[in-house]
Amino acid sequence: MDRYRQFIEDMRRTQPQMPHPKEVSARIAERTGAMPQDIPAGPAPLRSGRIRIAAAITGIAAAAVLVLSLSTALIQTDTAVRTEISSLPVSTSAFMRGPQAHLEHYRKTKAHRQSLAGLKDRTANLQMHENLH
Amino acid sequence: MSIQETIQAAAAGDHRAFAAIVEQYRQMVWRVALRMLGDPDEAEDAVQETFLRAWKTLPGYDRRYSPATWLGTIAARLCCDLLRKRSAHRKFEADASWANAQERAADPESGSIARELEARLLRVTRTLSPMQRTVFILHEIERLPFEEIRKATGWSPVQLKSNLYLARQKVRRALEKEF
Repeated sequence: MDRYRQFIEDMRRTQPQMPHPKEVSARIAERTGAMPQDIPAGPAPLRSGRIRIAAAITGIAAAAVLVLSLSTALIQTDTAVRTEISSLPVSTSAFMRGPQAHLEHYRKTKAHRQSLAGLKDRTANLQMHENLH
Repeated sequence: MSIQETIQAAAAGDHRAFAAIVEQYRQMVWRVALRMLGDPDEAEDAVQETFLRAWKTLPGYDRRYSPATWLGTIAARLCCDLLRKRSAHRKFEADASWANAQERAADPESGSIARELEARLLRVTRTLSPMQRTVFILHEIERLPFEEIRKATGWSPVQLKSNLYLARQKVRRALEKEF
């Protein structure tokens, strides 16, 4: 038998053994759900009860923070709208219904005020020119 | 229950049946992975990946192939991908890790013989391409049928034959150089 054939025969005869067969089977079982006969059924190390509880607590905390931040943002917006509305004269705002209507009325009144102020300025300017001449 | 029936049961979702397949073929798959990669730890990871792929592709398992060819080919293809990803400077220098792994094995005496032979295999197959290594290990060492390997890999007969021929030539030359 030549050297090559001898080598191949030796390789075929020698069957090295996996160092950690049970651990490998357990890892496969963990990822496929196929639990081998010689591995006791139970929670896998990475999915222990403690880790599950910790994950649940983290989830609840994150949800609570989200709800709180949303509530705060809503309250701030509401306060800003209320402040704007409260600056309106009571007599006019009393006729309005709802915050949106209040805001709309406020904007219109503000525009009228600005236009009136502009007219007053122009009148004053004309008066000043007439006085000069 | 025959192995074909076990595979059928596993394909139908029977986890116990799949566990039995893992038990029966894990050593063979590990041997293929070890001889492909030359690293026992990497080979263990490859065994896991092989059985995960097998689990996913069980419904499409072709009964014409033996489970050994089916699993051996999955392992070899996976190892081929790993070998291609390896950086060019990394060579098969796994003797140290192989030695450590065998020291932890149950039978140190048989472990030392196996270690010596595996180290020799790594030396003489160093220059083989991933494809040559695949066909050499599956057919020449594991004695899996040529035709089944061809069908399972999807490679053409010419590709397989030429790669096997080249692999044999390279190993012969390497063995001659040893002495």
